[in-house]
Amino acid sequence: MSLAVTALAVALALAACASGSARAAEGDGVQVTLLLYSGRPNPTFTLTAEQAERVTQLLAEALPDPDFRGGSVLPSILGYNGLLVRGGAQDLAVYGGRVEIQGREGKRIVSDGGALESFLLEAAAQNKALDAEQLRFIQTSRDKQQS
Amino acid sequence: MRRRAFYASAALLAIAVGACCSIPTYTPAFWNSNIQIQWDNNCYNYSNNKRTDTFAQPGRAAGAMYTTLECNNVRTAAVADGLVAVAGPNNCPKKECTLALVVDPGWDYHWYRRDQNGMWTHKPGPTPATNLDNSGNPIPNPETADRGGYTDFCGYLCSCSRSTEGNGSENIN
Repeated sequence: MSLAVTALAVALALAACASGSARAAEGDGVQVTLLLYSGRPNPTFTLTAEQAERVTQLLAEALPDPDFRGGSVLPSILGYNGLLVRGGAQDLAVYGGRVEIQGREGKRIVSDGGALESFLLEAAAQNKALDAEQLRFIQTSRDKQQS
Repeated sequence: MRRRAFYASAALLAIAVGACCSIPTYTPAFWNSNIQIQWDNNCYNYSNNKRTDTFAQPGRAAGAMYTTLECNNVRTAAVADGLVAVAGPNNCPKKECTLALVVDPGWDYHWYRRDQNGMWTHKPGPTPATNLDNSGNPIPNPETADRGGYTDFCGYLCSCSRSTEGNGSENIN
């Protein structure tokens, strides 16, 4: 009886380890949402561990942006509105060269020249999270924003 | 016996008051100051003034979600949720909130709501609720507002909203 219980406990522990490894390989479940739609659900994808690590690096390189005025970096317009990153150490909103970091200490804004946004959009394309029409839509919106 | 009648009357009164609709004021702080509320509630939540944290979809609560992104289909799904389609912006019962539906054909839909002051406000997806259109102008009329690619104006619907933000009465999810 006790042998069976022990075997079950070991099996459960192994299953938990396997599950943990899978999560780590997917960047511990860090999810990115691309903001294209107002009503219907927006496309999402999960970062790989390497991609999640790169996000951490890019955040570390960003500079504080004390001049930012406004409640959110996400623009309240109909069209492309940036990206959300959730499930990591901090939740992020990313748009137009700025990143809104939501952590335990509250919200802070950093400026990165658009590096994180570009990286996440490349990751979305690599992960096949967007179709050709969606990619074109975002590219057109970013071109307009920069002109 | 009298006491029982009193409690029964009080309960009925509470139900009646609870069922009353009212028109909301523009109170963006409710939707914008907490990221879970802001990010997980969309234009359909905002226009119905109902927080669900599920990015509510027309017809989903009724088991009759839209199947195509065009006016008739999305409007029919919203009607399944309990909204009432009307001919014009002034046809809703006095205490019900008037909503406007627009569509970017084949791409997406969007909703506006008319607040107590007669102006229209909206919440584009996970972004903050706003009283401005895509050109940064207030919205006296959603038919003429700058709506970006949402070029199809689908008409007006009535929603049983509340003056308390996030607490509308329609069954959406």
